[in-house]
Amino acid sequence: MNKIWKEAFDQIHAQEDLKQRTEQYLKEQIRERNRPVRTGALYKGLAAAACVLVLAAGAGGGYLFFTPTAYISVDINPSLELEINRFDRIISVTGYNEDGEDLSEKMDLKFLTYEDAIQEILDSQDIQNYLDEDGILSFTVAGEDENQSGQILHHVESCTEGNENMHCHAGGMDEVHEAKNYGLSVGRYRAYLKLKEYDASITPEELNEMSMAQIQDLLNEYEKDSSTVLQNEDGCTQDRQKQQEGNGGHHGGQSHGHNGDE
Amino acid sequence: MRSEEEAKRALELYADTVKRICMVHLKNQADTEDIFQTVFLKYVLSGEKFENPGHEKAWMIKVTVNACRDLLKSFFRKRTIPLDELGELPAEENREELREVLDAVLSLPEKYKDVVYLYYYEEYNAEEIGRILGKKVNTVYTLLTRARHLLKEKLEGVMDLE
Repeated sequence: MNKIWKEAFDQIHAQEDLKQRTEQYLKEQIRERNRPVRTGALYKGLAAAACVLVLAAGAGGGYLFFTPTAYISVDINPSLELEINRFDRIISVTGYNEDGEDLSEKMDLKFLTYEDAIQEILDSQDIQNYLDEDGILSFTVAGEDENQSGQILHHVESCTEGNENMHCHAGGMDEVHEAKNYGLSVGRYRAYLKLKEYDASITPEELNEMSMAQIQDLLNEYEKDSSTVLQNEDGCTQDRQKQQEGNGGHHGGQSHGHNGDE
Repeated sequence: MRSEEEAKRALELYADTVKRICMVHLKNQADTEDIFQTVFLKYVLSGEKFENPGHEKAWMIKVTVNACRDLLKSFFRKRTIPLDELGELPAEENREELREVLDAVLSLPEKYKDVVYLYYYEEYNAEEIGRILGKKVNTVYTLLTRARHLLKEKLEGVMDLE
């Protein structure tokens, strides 16, 4: 009986070509697996690492790009605040009062360098109209990096040089944060602090609606009354010193120009 | 992992055994080749230390049976078109009675095929079959008895199964 079973199953053989293909397949598998670092795995690893790097660089770059490191507050009647990143680009423009919002919508300053943005502001018809009506344009620069904010301030100074109705100031980061709490630009916040010395009843909302010229007039009146006229022809330098000391000069809103705090 | 030489040796020794089990279960060439390569790759990758040739052969059979079972369970295998594996037998050896024996085994329900092959061809006893297939000895006896009964009907006059 077993004989027929044997004969029956003995007819079945693995064909030579099947054996050869399998042998080749096994050789390849053994060699593939014996390689110390498989190229496939290496490439996959590299590709994965590259992806992680690109994502991290993208995320990191995005973070660096969209993190403000300096602020320029532009106040005339409209009140604007420009946020500048470490690459000297404008990353955000905020209008702090109604006129400021209108102006920020009209002007496309985002992603410009601060130099170009300031030029655009100075060239804008709206700002010119305010200046023609005896407006006072005030720039206040604050920043985490003294080098960067120093350079910005220097640039603003050079742009406004010779213009009697333009002032520039250095502010501190603590002022930037406090100003935000009051819903004011840094320039207006500094004016608010000064006015408050004379009139404790003044509110940030009231001040936000006043033009810088009106604020200046009011300050001049108070200062005349109290006979504490502060003459300072080199306000920016003093402010910079204060900034370097880390105070930012709460009360150092001295103007730079020829008709400053008179 | 085993060397290329070990792989070649195993292929020479067990190619026919693996092929026969594949033939019993599978009905097309592509599946057979898949299982064939899978079984020998498992052998190459296995760290199993074999005590003797018998142990090694039993291991090969067990791995092949399991690989065939896995394939038969898979969804895709069920949708392939079966080919007649026996069609490839050499004409001069293809004696009518031998073909009938193989046909009879192939026509059995899946659960009986391995015990029949292992018992009648490989001549393992019930206990050894139980170890290879992971079944109780009594189960093996039951399967053998039922298979024998089925084969008897199919092979009446061809051979005596008692």
